[in-house]
Amino acid sequence: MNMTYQVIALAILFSSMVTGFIIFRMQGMKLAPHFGALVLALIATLAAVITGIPVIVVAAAVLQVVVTLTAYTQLFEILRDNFQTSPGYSAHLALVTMLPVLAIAGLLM
Amino acid sequence: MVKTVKALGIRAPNAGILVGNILRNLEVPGEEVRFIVSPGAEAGMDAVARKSGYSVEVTPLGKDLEIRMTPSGKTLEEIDVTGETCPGPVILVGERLSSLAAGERLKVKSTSPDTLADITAAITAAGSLVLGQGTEGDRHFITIEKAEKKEKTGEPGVPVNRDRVLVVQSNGTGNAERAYATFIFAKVAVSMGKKVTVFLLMDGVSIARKGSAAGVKHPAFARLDLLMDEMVKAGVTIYACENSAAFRGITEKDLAPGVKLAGAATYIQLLSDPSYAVVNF
Repeated sequence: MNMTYQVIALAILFSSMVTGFIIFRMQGMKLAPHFGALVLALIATLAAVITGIPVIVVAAAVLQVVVTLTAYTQLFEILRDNFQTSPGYSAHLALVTMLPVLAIAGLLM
Repeated sequence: MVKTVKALGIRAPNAGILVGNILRNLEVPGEEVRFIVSPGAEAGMDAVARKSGYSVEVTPLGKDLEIRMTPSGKTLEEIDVTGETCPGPVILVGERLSSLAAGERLKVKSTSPDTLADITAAITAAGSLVLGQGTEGDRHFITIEKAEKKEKTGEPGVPVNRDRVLVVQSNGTGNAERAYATFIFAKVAVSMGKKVTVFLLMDGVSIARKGSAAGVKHPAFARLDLLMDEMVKAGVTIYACENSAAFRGITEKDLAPGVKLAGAATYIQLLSDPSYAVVNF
């Protein structure tokens, strides 16, 4: 396992908290599973980077993928019909879309 | 209607004698009467009112005083809107006024004078009158008299009634605050007796897709689809721009209940109608 990918994922998760907060406000402060997944992934990734314990690294990788999935399922309704406001959501989506690639790379490489 | 008598410049006790005589010789016995008098005339009015079977309320009216004689037993309705936030107070007062007959009065209390100013703007636009205002302890109050709005005649040079509101929404579910504002403003306009039309265009048509508004929920407000249903039931017309809908693959069968497709001509017609005040979100 290459921990470099987990460090990059951690940086992305921190940034995602900021972009996520912005769309959280745009969406009307609606709490969603994605928010919970994001917080759990951040904690797990931080623990994985600090400890390097393989089971925690795997758990962090799984949660990183869940973050991406929940972001898309939650925002699908908005992205489908909102063309003018969707750029407001793009920063967060771009960040979380990197996570599955880094998660897989961290486990395989 | 409440009879109004101006008796400026007459002081007590002559003002009391005059008021007593008027109350005794009313064409309609027991009618409510409003006297506009000069300061100093109010002394002894309690006794005059009691003797005539009336209750009295004195409120400042500019430099003068308003003395309202209400037949005993006829109560002045009261509502306290303290703690309610916009648009709650306007809606509560609008609903209460709608249950009153013309000429009946409502006393509205609040700790916030700004809230009362907002209510004053709303109810005077709907044709009712603010008879007086004042404070009682920590509460400010206004006294409102329900009146029917006078229709303008349409004579040359006379402006038309702007008694209709067009709310244009072009941001859709992606911007929850604007989506909420669309229907909250519509609700306030309905409570003010306005005829409301909502026109959804561009991203705004995302609200029109069946089930889409159910995904918009702010902790402080009801779910957007419930607010939208409420407005449809209140008689608000909701149009979705046909072109914007087609752009997003939304067809007539995808529309939420109460929403109709409309073309650009309808939109232009609504914008061109001087009876509409236009609000954009």
